[in-house]
Amino acid sequence: MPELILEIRDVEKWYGVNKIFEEVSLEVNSGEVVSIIGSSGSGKTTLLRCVNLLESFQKGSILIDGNEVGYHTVEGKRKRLSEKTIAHQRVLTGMVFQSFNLFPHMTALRNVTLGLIKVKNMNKEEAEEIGRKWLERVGLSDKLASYPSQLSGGQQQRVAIARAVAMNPKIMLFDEATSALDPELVGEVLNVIKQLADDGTTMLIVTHEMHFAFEVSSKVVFMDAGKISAVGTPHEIFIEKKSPRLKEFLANFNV
Amino acid sequence: MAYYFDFNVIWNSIGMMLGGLGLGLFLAIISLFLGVIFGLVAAFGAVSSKPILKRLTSTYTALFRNTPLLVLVFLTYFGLPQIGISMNKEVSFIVTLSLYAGAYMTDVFRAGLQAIPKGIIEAGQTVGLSRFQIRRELQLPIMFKNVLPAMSNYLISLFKDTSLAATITVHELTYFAIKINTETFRVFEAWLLAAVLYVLTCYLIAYILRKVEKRLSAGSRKERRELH
Repeated sequence: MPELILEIRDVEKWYGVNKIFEEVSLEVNSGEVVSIIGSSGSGKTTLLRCVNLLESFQKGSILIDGNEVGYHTVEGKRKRLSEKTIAHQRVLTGMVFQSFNLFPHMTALRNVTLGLIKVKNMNKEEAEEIGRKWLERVGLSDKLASYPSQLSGGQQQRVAIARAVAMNPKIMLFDEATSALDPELVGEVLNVIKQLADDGTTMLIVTHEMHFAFEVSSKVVFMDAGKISAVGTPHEIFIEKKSPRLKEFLANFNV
Repeated sequence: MAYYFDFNVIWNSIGMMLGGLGLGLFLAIISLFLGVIFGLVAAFGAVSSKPILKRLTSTYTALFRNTPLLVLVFLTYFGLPQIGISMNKEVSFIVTLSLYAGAYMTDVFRAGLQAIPKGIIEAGQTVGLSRFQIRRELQLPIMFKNVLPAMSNYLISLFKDTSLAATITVHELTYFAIKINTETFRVFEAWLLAAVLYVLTCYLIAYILRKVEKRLSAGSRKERRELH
């Protein structure tokens, strides 16, 4: 019986007078891999950033593991939670950014252990054991002591993935994790993500890698012009291509 | 008319001059230390999202950066007692120089903080770090690494600025040079010796700080070796 990990209910997001998206509802069950595809500016990345509360949103609610995050209602008014509470809630999600965003002054191992020590209050030995384990899992056991500037883009992104999964989040969020990489480095990162998917990690992935989305996803979401335009199995989205907009979008990708 | 050099009187005063040099160094170091604290507080104000903090810090830096240091020294030492705030001359000079240094440091730190990519702060947030932890674990160390060379240079500049303390009769190097000058009339010798001592000390500071900078990067190399 799969349990509901992430529930997005009718979320609406504005930047000033510009509406980014509206009526976005989405459910992710444990062990599922849900991919979001769509053209640039369709709001995919912003949606992902709403899920881990880097962005505010004006309407709707997001629940992780059954609990609403980011906002609460006081006397009928919707209010954003304190920064401290939000910091706690962010531990429920693990985020991998397009531009890696490793801590430049720390070794690969320290990048992974920082959150374990400072947020999960582990002692150094415990944290380093977990850090080593995850860096080994992403194939970087020989780079524990390297600084980000000494690593390739693919290696940096694998450290970033280890940093996020080591915190044992309920759901992993990938924001175009391979878009900033040289083509020959894309494969090593996708392999790591695929391996996590095979291990049953729950994931929400924003991607432009259509073959990858087809291969790993349990469900694919097509966002277009600030709305969810189509949801379906990879087969329904990539092979049947039900809507004309979807067909038009996928025509750009040789799928 | 020829000028005959006579360093004999000068050698008698070298102890005094070195003592003055020491005091100048002390004034510069303590002012830099306090200035760094003022600068850090103000720099975080300058990059904060609160308009009132931004305005406060920009007023502070504008006032202190646009007034000649000598005027600030006089304002503090001669002006403030008129409204009931008196300090002894050394304290008065330290207060002035550290606030002046703080204004420069604010800009150095602000630039250093703004140069940190936003994504790195966001990565800290997504790991669950609090705002305070992000400051201590990410922003401060990344910024300090970036601004260390600028700070080293600034210490040298502050050390030279301590010569202005002579104008309020603080017993530092320039004060003694003036004293020897008026007491012995060995004008050229007194100022030449003062200049040489300033140059040598500045070189020494630069040399030591270079070592410190190297040591700091060697520290991270050592950490790397230990982990292997």
